[in-house]
Amino acid sequence: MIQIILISTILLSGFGLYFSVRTLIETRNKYYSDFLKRKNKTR
Amino acid sequence: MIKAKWWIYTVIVGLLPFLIRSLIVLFDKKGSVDYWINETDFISLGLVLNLSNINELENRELENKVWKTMKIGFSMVSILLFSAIFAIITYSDFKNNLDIDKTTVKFCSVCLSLVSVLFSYSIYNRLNSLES
Repeated sequence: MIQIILISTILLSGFGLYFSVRTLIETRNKYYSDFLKRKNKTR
Repeated sequence: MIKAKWWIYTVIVGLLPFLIRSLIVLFDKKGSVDYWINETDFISLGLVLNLSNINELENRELENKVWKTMKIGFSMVSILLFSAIFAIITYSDFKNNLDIDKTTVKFCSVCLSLVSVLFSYSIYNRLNSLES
């Protein structure tokens, strides 16, 4: 029983970390590209 | 604004059992670390965070449907695992079953809830940037 919980936790934590970091990086890249676009327009 | 609301309404409300327990440990002479770090508190935090993810994403029209579906799916799987751990803990408490390794269960619930906080933060961070 405890092994199943442990394996599920490790798997879910791994996927969760992957999804979170990917989303954070994607959001940051999008934010920066929008920011650069706005900056170039104002020039 | 979405992120600020998430911190106040979701994270702090989800952490309430832990905060109350912290206060008890602070004022009680017999308070111990084992009592302070309780698995049910972290499970409740994880459940609150994942439920709020589903609720927030369901009521929004987003361009990237695959992203939305993936996040809702992951939150559902997390809720499933949190519920399973919660059921095991409750049943072992009820039966006074000593076969279950409490330290491992504690470690798993703390680990999962921390990942849930990061996961939920990433979702609300994106929604916040989309709104602004």
